[in-house]
Amino acid sequence: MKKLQIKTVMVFDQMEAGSEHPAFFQLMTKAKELFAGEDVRFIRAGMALPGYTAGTEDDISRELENPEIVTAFLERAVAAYEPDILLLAATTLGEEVAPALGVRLGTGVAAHCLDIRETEEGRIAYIITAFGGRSVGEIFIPGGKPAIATINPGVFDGDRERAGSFEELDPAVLSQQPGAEEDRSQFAEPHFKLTGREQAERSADAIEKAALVFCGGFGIGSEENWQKIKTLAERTGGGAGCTRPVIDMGWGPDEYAMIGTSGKTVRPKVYIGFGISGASHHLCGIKDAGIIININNDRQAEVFAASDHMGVSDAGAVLDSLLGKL
Amino acid sequence: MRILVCVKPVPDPEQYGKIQIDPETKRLMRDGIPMAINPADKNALEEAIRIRDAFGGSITVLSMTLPSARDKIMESLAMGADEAYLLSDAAFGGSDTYATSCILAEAVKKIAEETGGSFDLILAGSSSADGATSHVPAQLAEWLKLPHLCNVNRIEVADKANSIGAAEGAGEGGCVVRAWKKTEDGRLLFEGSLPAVISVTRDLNKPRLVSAMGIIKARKKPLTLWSNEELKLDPVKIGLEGSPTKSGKTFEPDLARQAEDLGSDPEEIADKILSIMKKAGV
Repeated sequence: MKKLQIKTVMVFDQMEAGSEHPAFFQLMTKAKELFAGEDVRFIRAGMALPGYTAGTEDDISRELENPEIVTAFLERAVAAYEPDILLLAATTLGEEVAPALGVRLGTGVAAHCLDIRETEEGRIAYIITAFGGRSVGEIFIPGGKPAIATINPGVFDGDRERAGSFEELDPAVLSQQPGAEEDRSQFAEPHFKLTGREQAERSADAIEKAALVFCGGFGIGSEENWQKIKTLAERTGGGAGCTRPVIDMGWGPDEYAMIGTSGKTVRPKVYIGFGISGASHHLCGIKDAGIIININNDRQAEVFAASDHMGVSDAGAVLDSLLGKL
Repeated sequence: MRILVCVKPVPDPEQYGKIQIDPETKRLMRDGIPMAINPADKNALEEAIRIRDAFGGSITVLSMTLPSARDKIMESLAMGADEAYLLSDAAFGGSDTYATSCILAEAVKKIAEETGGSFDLILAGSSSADGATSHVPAQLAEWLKLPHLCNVNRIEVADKANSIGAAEGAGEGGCVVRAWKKTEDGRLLFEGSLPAVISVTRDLNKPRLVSAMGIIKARKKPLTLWSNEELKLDPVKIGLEGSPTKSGKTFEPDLARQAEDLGSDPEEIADKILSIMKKAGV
């Protein structure tokens, strides 16, 4: 679709603790930048809508986290507002809702975009990765309405202030849509009912929000060194992340700590990697870090080509030295 | 219990470092990289085997791939699936996830029709190592008008006789399922009835290795090849034409930075790191 044809952009907000989700502001900021100076309507599709979704706070939180309900809700919101573009954060919720909506609405979905930009011909291109970040490519959604895209939290820089103003959904408008009545019965009786919740040991967004990230790769070689990385993170208020092999080796972290295209995207001021080989799927997840420091005992390690500072040394020894000084 | 597992052969993810982009044609050069069953799909198959072994029934593997990846489908039979369908046709080429899931859905319907019974549970890996969109499981479910739950790392199935309290609404004689969906900060427990489509993550279980006996048995298991002559799908709805997303240019990500050498003495490196941290205010 050409940029000039875009009249309405809708951004889904999955909410967090009763307030806007940080990723919503990131996506809205990006949308505002992309269509700066154009006559475009920006809409926040937030779900907690008194008068449309359920009444009690308990019900609302159950609805907000159920992909089945969110999909039905967004289907209605799209029918009512007819956006040309619909953006969702690629959380595990957004990752399930976006493709489902794609089939229901007969439109295309670009997954885990690294960027959304205008081409020289004035078309909107969604930039996606494949083969674990080894390749980056353009995706176009020429005929689909809305074009749907998911973006990992942290990929775009943005906040409440830069997101500026936007329209909110009007429950009365949604209620007039055909199917709105069925929605309510589905909201109350979804096929899959949410009946329990488990919190992971580490807080959700520690590494996404941290200004300082320590990260371990296969080269750390042991559970002991992973513990040192965690201790460093605790002492400095930073985050502790890892790459896939550290999880597979059973050295301690779970998938919540994984940084890369299939894990978290981070943009700390300073990133310090230990024993990272430099696989592109990991590098894609740290590419927007302010300063990238890497320690690896192999001078030829690919990771050094994507670093601002390199130390050719044993990861465990440098971890010990840092712990001695912090 | 009749289970269908979607399996995708992908270029071996362990070797993506070798993939280069031809500077002239901008095409991916993946010659010499062997195929492997997508890692998470093996977890789906493992879970299917465990459920079948507990409840009885059968496992059907479904894959849309190149005929040359037939040995990967044989591998899934050797692991323990009972039968397999391989969909392959030039008309399917270039399909995005929307068109792919549509083709898979039509095949699921056709298998059910021809074998006289629908599937109770459809399992798939939550994400493929190559494209990694995570789209197909949810989209397959939508085409089939089945409920879905993605990114699940624990599944419990119980037949209605042993119904697990909270999960009501299981059909007569149907099964109830408890599935834990991973989120950014933990897991959500969902309960519902089958049939459903569930996509699973790699921490769900540890896939078994293929045994020599498994390989021998696999040779006798039915493997059916279907092209579009059997599926009879409108060419407009599949392949490049049926795909709402279109690919543009491909390029290598620009991740290059100029690295300054901090030396090789751990103490010296640590001091320099601390001064960088201080300067950056972290």
